[in-house]
Amino acid sequence: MSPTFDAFLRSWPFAPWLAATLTITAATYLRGWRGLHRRNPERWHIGRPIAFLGGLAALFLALASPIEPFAALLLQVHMLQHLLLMMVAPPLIWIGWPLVPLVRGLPEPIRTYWVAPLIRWRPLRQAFAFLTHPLTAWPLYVGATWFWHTPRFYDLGLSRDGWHLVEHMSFVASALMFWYPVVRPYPSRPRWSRWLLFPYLLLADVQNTLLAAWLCFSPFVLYPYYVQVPRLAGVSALADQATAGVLMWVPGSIAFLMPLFWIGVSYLFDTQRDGARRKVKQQPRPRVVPLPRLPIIDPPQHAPGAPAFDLLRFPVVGRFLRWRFARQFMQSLMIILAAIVILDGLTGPQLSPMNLAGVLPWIHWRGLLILGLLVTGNVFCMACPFTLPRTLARRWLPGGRPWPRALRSKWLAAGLVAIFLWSYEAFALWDSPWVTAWIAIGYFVAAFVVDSFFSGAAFCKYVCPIGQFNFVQSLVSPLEVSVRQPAVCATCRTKECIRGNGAIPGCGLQLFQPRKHGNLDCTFCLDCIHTCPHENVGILATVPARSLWSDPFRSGIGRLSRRPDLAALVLVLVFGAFANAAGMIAPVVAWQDRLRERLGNPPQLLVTTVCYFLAIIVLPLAAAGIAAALSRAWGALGDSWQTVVMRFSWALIPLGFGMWLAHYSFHFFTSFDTIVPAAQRFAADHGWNLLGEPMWLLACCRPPADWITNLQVLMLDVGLLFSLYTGLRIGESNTNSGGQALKVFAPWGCLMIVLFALGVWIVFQPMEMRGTLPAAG
Amino acid sequence: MQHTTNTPANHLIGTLAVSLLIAGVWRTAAWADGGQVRAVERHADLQVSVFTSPNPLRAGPVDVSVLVQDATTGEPIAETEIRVRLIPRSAHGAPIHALATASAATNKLLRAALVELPHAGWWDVEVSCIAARARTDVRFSMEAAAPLPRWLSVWPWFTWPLGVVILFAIHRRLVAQRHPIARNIRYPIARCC
Repeated sequence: MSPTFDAFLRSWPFAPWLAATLTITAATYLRGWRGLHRRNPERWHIGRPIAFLGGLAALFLALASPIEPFAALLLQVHMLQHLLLMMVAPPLIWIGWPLVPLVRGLPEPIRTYWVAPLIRWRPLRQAFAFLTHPLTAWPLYVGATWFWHTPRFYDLGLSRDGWHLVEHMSFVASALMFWYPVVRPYPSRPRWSRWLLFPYLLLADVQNTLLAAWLCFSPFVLYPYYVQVPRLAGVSALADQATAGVLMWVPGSIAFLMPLFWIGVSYLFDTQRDGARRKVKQQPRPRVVPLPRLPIIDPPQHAPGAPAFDLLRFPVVGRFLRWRFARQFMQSLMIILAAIVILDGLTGPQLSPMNLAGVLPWIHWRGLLILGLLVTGNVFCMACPFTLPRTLARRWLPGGRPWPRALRSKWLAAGLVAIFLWSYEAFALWDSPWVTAWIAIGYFVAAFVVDSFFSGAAFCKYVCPIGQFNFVQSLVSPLEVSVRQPAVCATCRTKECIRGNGAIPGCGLQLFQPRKHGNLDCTFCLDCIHTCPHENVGILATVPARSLWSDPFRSGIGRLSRRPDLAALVLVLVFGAFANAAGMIAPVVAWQDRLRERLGNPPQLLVTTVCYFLAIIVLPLAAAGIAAALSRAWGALGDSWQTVVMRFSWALIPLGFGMWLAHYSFHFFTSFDTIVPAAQRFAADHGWNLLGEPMWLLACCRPPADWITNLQVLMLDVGLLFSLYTGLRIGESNTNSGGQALKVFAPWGCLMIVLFALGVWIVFQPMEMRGTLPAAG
Repeated sequence: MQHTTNTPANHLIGTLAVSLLIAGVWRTAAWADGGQVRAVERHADLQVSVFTSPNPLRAGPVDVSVLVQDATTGEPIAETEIRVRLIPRSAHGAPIHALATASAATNKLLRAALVELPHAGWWDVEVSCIAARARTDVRFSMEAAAPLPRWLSVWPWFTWPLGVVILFAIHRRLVAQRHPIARNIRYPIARCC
């Protein structure tokens, strides 16, 4: 094999977004096609998905195979890329009749309630019909072809990445429009004669031949770019150009003439079929059950009462979680890790990236915690090590006292959260393994002492700042501990889920399952699952943030709109997300330094304290107060501004979650391998040399990859959309008309957009790579 | 609370799918090696071509790619050691050294070095290729423009929610037109879960 060809075969670009897009498109199509195939196997035969997937494969080959990098060196490869984009992928995609399968493949609520009205929108349909009419599609296709093949614009596409992308997009878009009238995919119903396709395709072939001949017979190289690049395998630029012309000419002509031939044959076939139809007409017509023309507006197909996704019924994981001692097992693992962190924090080197206490809690645990909240739910509280000692020792502890009535709110917890966020920055907790170890010890002691004296899970419900963080963020998690069949609970008289069954206590957080809404205050301890004699509690799928859209009475909590302490906690956590991330970006650090200079160099601690007080106490109060005042004024609400704040502050949670997620996942993805040298060092210090010498290079900072920043912005995007939607829903639940709801919601929407803009600005700034060694190290 | 269907999971998958599809449509041009041809030099039996990207060149991450060929046959030569040195013409700033490797290159004909240009201005570039038979040095100069603000290259990533909001507004209007009495639109997704 020649070295050039060998290099060609190994040159695969990394295009994860394209691969993800094509995979999801293919999966959606196949999901929709499967249902259609069951209904009508003749119409939706196997050839449809083969063609559609072939079209997607052609797109992938053109954009993410060796063709892409070699297109810059050889014009013939570039021509092959264009042929795939214009003459192979689009017709194959249309032959797959993708419109109906793609829409049917979408989840039912999205299809029925969101997509269907848009598809029915007359201007959209008219625009599509106009663009795919032969008299529009032909000039667009030919125009795009000639425009981009003129030397000036061809070179522009080659020399500017952005224009190259525009070129490809215009090729694909115009080709999709061009091939639509030729293939006429179901359910298109063209109003023009099919005879029009003869001049349509013939003229397209003529212009293609002219362009190809120009490339083939030109005595000079048309595109200066290809004169400059080194020649491969002895192919001169002129020969390369001629070969590209031949490629355009021969396969291009085949692509245009083959459909002509096919259409001619089908006309013959249709004539025979018409004769057959006439004969059939004389016979009595059988009764036909009409299929819906647009299956997308079908009523929901599911049977009422069909079970939701339940993690407890998921293979392996579900079996493990149903095990009585699953939680204790996870807690035991976590307590071992906590012991290692404490040991290393107290005895190891006091340099954060070298110490497990500087790496495990601040990079890995935080990253995995927030990712766990994103994909499942409150898994950290489920595996919380701090409560294991008191659980094991509970039978010997005095316990039994009720938590003081004055403290039965989240005020204490909200204050502790604010203090934790402030102290993290003020005392650089992340940078001190010793302090980190003492925080862990303090947690164990606090949990043990509080729960030794008071009944239930008082520490979790009223004290633990980490727990409060998890409770609030898990409101946007996709899973929820919930009742499977409400009717079963209606007949239950023993109520073990709240009272316990002797062996297992009931819910320590006073959450009565039938009246529980959302994950607030739920530690995922699974006690209710193990105690329920009817096996009627599961870990069920839910729509993220759905529990925020309404304000029913919640067991153990009450109504959200009557809990100022909870609103305060939410505001501290939401604004804390932005303050915590902003505290480690260069412009904010520089601004703080300048401010300190201007104020005559007061202690850094004082400046940080004032800044944090403003950021997580004063600013949230002011912002929420102004938004509430405007809501009342614009929406003519009769409620007090405090009630409006208590109701709407919950809508900020998804955006706050997006910021926490963007921040913590940044540190996790950029520094996840810092654990390797720290673990090697820890093992070596304790006489275990199994892990080898510490690879300190892995503890060094790396510049964050572009995809991480993009992912961070994507997290904020999704958080913003959920927040906007939640805010609108809350507005609608408090007003009588859509217009009034918009007015009430508008100030909160503006606040969300301001916070979103702040979040985007933060992720674009250079961020301190905390927990890693400096580059020179 | 009533969980009647597998709708929530579907909804989640749908949300993810739609997000990814939207993001995928805005796939930026692949960050590949190659780019603008800066120099082509022949020395003894070697022909060395040097490319840089992005184009136009700006301060920030820059790819310097090198293609070493047999000058007679045009076949690429794999066994080469390629060192890249970038020297700022301005007084401030230290030279940047990098090794161009095949693993860093997308196009495996090339050897690529990914470097970070710290500032705009003129840079003198020296590329040394040591093959078994000969050593070739290529020198050229290039000007790097000031980096564009980051948001200019990633604006689709944070503006697509605006498209979703517009679609949502259209959707509300369409639904309201179909059901003019029901002015306060209720969303079935909430009820069905």
